[in-house]
Amino acid sequence: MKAYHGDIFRYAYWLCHDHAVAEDIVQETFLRAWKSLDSLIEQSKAKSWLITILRRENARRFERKQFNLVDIDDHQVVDDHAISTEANMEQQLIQRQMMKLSEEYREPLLLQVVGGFSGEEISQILGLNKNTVMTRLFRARNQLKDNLETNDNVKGQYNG
Amino acid sequence: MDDLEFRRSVFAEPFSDDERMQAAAANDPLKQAFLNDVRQFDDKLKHALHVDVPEHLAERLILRQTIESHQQSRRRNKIHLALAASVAFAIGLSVQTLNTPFVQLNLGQHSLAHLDHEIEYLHEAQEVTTLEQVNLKLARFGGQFEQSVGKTVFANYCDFGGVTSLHLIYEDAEQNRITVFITPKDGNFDFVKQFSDEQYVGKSLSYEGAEVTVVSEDPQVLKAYSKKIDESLNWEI
Repeated sequence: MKAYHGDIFRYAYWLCHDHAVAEDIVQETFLRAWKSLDSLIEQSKAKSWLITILRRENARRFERKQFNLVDIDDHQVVDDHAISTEANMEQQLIQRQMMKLSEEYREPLLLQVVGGFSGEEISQILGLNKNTVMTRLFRARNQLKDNLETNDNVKGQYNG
Repeated sequence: MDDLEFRRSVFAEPFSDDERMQAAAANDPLKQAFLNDVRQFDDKLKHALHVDVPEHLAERLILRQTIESHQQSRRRNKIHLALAASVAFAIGLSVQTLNTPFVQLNLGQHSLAHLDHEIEYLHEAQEVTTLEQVNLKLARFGGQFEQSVGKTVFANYCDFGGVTSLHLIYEDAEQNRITVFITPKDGNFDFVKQFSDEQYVGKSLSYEGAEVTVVSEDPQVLKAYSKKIDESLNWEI
């Protein structure tokens, strides 16, 4: 279990963008997983199986209650530590842009980058065909890059 | 692979091991540069997404599972207890209800009941039967009389509590009637050696293939006849 909880947590975090909520979801996920361990057929599929449970758990969270949606721009995203270096700055920008992606683009990208799943596996987890997944991955990166570049320009303008 | 397709596949999966994509990059410096650029971006992305996992999350997960499993096993124990209790209750109930109407009779009790039931008829029965006829019927149970036990006034199969048995009636010189039941071993009756009621006394003899129950009104006659039957019966068929 230790082998997976890091990636699972990160995935949850990027789904809901809240440390506490992510932790709750992860706890629920592992609890459910552990209760229905019998249904896990292959050890090698454990991670994608956990992701599937996690996604269900996350969806359930929305059934339970409606959150007040906030504009991501109004809030400081991720850690509130002082950002001094340029690298940190860039990281923060990426993180912010990541949350701006719609969920249909963010999820496959997360699965690929954080989860390390192949296109085939992602299509199984999300229940989409592989072409759709590849298109979404393409668009996700495209949007992300575009947005970051625009952001750079805006920043440049301010600086100038 | 044209430029657009290349860009699409790189954007979709920069670290793909697709040979066509890699070949295209190797043959074109511009494509290679693009690929490197996207891969670099992906590294940054990966880095940015690599948020810290809360401290001790793994330990908390394990603790929670342990607590849950403990509660679950307690719950399960309760269910088991409840189940066991209801099963015991059901058994108790059925033993009560089943036992009262259908008392399991033993061989002796059933013989007496059978006699009581047929008493009218049996006293009148007068079908003198030969030894051969008796032996023919007895063959079913794997037995044979080597010599006649006495005057046979009745010899026929009858239903003895659901089991087909041979019912014989002998009459001695003093007109005492002796009833003999020959029942197969797999009958549903508990074997009892001796039994009696106000009118009759009985005795059961157990053989390998069958049980022979002798009933008479007179203990002396009973003794004599059961001895005779025992001596003349041969179970070697």
